Amino acid sequence: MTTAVRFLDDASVQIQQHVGLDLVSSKAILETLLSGGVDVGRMDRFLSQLFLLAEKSEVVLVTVLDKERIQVSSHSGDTVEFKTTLAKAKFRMICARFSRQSSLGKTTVSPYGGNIVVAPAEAISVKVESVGDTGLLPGSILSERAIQEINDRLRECKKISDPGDSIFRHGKIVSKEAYEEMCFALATSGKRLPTCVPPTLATYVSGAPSGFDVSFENSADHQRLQIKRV
Amino acid sequence: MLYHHGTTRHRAEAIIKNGPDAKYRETGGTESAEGFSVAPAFGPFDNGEPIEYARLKAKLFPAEGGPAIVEFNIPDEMARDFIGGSGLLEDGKALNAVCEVRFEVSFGLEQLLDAWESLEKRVIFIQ
Repeated sequence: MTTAVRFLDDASVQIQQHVGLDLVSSKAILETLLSGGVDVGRMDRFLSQLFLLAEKSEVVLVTVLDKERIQVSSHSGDTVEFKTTLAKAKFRMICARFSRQSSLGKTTVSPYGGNIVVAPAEAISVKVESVGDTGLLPGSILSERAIQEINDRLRECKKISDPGDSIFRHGKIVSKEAYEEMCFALATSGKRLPTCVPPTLATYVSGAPSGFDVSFENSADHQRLQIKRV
Repeated sequence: MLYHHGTTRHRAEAIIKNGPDAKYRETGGTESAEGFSVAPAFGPFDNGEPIEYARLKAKLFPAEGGPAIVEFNIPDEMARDFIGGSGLLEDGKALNAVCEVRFEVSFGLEQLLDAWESLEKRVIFIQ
């Protein structure tokens, strides 16, 4: 069974995906995400970080040692431990979040534990078919998440089809705000406005997802989460 | 604010009567619950809906009367005293993850228990 899981991500995680990361260097991120309070964004970033680590090191095991300590270990033998208030409660919430996000169609994972093969969006590689106005190279391989973000940003832009009296060049991609500001400035001085068309988005073909075998137990007695690259 | 806790009928009735029991131990378990989790009655339900938890618990413990929801209202003024701000963990207050509020000993549970008798509450039985 394979389900697509889309955890929200942030720039730091995306950057790390490209520059490389290991468990020891991730400790500060993991610790920070669970320090103090938690919300959906922090829980999702914590899970994303674990998937990225598992992608690199094959297996990541998260264990709640006690009410204030969480241990994360990897296949290579690296182990980090950090303190966080209400560790068990936060871990329970993360498992609940994971089980919720893992739902697809009729497949639902119990927040109390389970075993499932998942494919986080950031782990799905795609091949760029048509680059459109993205500036990507044809045939580039990148994560589905990354290309979706690039296309999303492009949707917020305009492509100049006729510069009019503006400073824009023909074919330039500009933000909607910059375009509107320029039009306003030209209109008030009676000059010719630029015209625009929507930019062309990149198209891509899906590649095989990197799968992860995720098993977790979330009870009063046992709290552990293992993510294994398959 | 109105909160929901998904559980079984037997546990719901005990909670309504005595308040949440952090020492509650599930059948076969060796450790206690250590706290009490609730969700805002009208969501968001990013960590799952109380009704789902109720059904899961009822399935795990079929002799406990079926799924049920404990509904209770914490007046806003009182909630500010013992529930942390959104996404925050504040000293002596429940952990508020927006979609879930977790009460534990030294984190809002004592205040909740003190106020329990005065709170409007009921059990909602689920078919």
